[in-house]
Amino acid sequence: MISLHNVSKSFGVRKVLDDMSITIREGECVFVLGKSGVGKSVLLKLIVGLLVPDHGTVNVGGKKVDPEDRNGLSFIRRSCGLVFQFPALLDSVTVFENVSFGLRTRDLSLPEADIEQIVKDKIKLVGLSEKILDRYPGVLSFGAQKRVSIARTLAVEPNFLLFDEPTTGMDPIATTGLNQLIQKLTSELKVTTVVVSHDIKSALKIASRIILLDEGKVVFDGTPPEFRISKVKLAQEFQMGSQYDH
Amino acid sequence: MKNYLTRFKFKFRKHETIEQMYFLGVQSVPIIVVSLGFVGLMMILELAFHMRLVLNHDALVPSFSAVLMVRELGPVITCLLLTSRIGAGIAAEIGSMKLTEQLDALRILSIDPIDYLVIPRWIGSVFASITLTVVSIAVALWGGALLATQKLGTSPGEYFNTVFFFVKFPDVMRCLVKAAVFGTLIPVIAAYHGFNCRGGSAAVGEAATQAVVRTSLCIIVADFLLTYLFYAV
Amino acid sequence: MTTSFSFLATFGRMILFAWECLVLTIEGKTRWRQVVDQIYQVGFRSLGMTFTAGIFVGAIMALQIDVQLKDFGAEAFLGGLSTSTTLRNVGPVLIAFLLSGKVGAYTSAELGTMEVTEQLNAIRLLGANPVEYIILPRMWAVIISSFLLLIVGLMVTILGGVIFSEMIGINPLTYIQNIPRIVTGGSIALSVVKSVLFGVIIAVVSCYKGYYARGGSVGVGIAVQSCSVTNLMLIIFTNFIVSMAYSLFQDIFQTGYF
Repeated sequence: MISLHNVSKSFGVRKVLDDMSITIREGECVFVLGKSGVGKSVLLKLIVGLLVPDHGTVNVGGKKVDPEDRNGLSFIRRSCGLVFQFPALLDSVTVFENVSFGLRTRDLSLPEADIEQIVKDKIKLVGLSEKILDRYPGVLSFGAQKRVSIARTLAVEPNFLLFDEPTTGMDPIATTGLNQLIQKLTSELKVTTVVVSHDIKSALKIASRIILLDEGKVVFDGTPPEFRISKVKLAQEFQMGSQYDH
Repeated sequence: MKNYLTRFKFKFRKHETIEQMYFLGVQSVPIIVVSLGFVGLMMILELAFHMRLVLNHDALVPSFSAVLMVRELGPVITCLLLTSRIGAGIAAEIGSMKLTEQLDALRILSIDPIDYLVIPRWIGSVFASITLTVVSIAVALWGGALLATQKLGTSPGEYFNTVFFFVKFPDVMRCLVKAAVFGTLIPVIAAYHGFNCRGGSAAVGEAATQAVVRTSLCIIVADFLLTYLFYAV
Repeated sequence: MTTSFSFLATFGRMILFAWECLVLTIEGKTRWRQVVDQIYQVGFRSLGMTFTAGIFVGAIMALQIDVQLKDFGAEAFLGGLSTSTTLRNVGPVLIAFLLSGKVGAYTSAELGTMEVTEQLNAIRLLGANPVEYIILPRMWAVIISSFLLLIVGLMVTILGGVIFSEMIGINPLTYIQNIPRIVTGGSIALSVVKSVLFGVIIAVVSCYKGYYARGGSVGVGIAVQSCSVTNLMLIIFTNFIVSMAYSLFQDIFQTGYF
């Protein structure tokens, strides 16, 4: 379970999160929506301890997220996998090296054969062929790189999977593919997923819960059907915007 | 031929030029002053070492120091510092303008990018290089004065009297010419790299770093050629 | 005033950063195979530039000193004086300038890009320390290759001086023979020490600026520019400090010309 209690965060004069309290339970597939630049990425970074809140506390799996507490932070990062907006693959090593990276740093006694098996499994899971393992990230398409970075995060078998704008900049076919992958992960692997996005269509399709942020506060928190009929102005604007895509 | 000649006709853009003179020149002053101050101190030390080693007699150290500053180190070190400060900036600025199609936008508005971008920066850069070279030589000599009174036992008066013993008017002129030449190299090479930037934002960074390295090398080569021209021919 | 304070603050942070890297090295965490790899990437490609710069710097100094000495009829001293001045001061500083432009800028740009594309964050989240995994090999590679390049460059300046003496009709042999008369062991030691220090400066400053780059590609650009300027200023400053130390050592211990 991930919970934020009265969390506030500002960057200079910009107040990005304002006294926010959210609880995310196991098995949920939560979409955190909001306009661009509203602070959704900040939320994810607070959860994994890459940023520290000005006020309030963040708890993951019962432990408080505290950068001072090395062991605690290690535990939290082991249970949360964060897939960045940019694939963030290390471009000087092969795909295989990238995906196995987390395995090597965490458990130094894991035999090479096991590592290889895990990497192959995860690559298959994200829908890529094993042939990709020897190639370098630079030659792959953006969509493929995204999938590799998901495989990398999955290799260490986290309990929570956090996505930062996964479908931004992808074509509709790739977007559908990614949505299906997220659905599979949540339902088959029982991984709790938190997706930060402004892609309302994907949210309405696969989320079990939608949280809408505006000006640092939560303005809506409920299921997709509730979202569709919500009276909240921003929720309606979001839906109208997506309707114009037809 | 006509195309080449039209290159020399340009519209003088007063506002941009003055802006560039400020950005490139005035804002570089602190860095130049501090750095060249240390260069001046170092010159005294080095010359004292060598003069005592070879001639056993260091009365001429201030004068030699001044001569080397004016003929060589003043323009060269000042302009190398200037290159790293403004060369990368110009290349990156023009490169990203090319990337975001602003250069095309200018052309469509019948504004020649060279008039608008390069000429003001050229004037600003030459202004910067000449004035900063003069300032830096002054600072270096002043710094040298501080050290000379300690190390060489000369009095400040003696120092300032002898310092220009070897420096003649042609030397000063040649120094300014060197500064002007180096000051031209910086924006021209940087703008060239910016205009020829192809690719994404990585290419812009690449252009900026290449501009600085190539300009620095060109300054050293040009320095040799000019020095040879002035003093050995 | 605030600028000089912030410069001191940055300087302090850089020292802490360097300290962290030193501690990691002592703990044996350096990945030397990566270092060798990086030396090839970074150092080898700067060889041409170093060579060119060396020849011209050597020639320039020989030319300038020749002009001075001609007036005194002391051209016999050209070899020794020109080499000595170049090795002790002008050579290390100018070549270090060029290296900071090429090697320093390349390193800070690469690291800066890795930081703003979240690669370093990804490494943190997977449980590794990006300083150990990415920064440390590059830092050592830059120190070692800068040092080697500086030494090569300095040797080439001697060559440049010799070529120049040939050009203006001075017997190259006379030139070379004069060198040991004036270039002292202490001078050579001085230039080696400076080469080491300049290598360290370029490495620490570029890695620091790249690591702390923030804010997209604009941030990378700022990091690279800041890296260049900081490098140059620190090189000039250190050059002075080392020369000063040498001079004080000479005075205090009355060692004569060593």
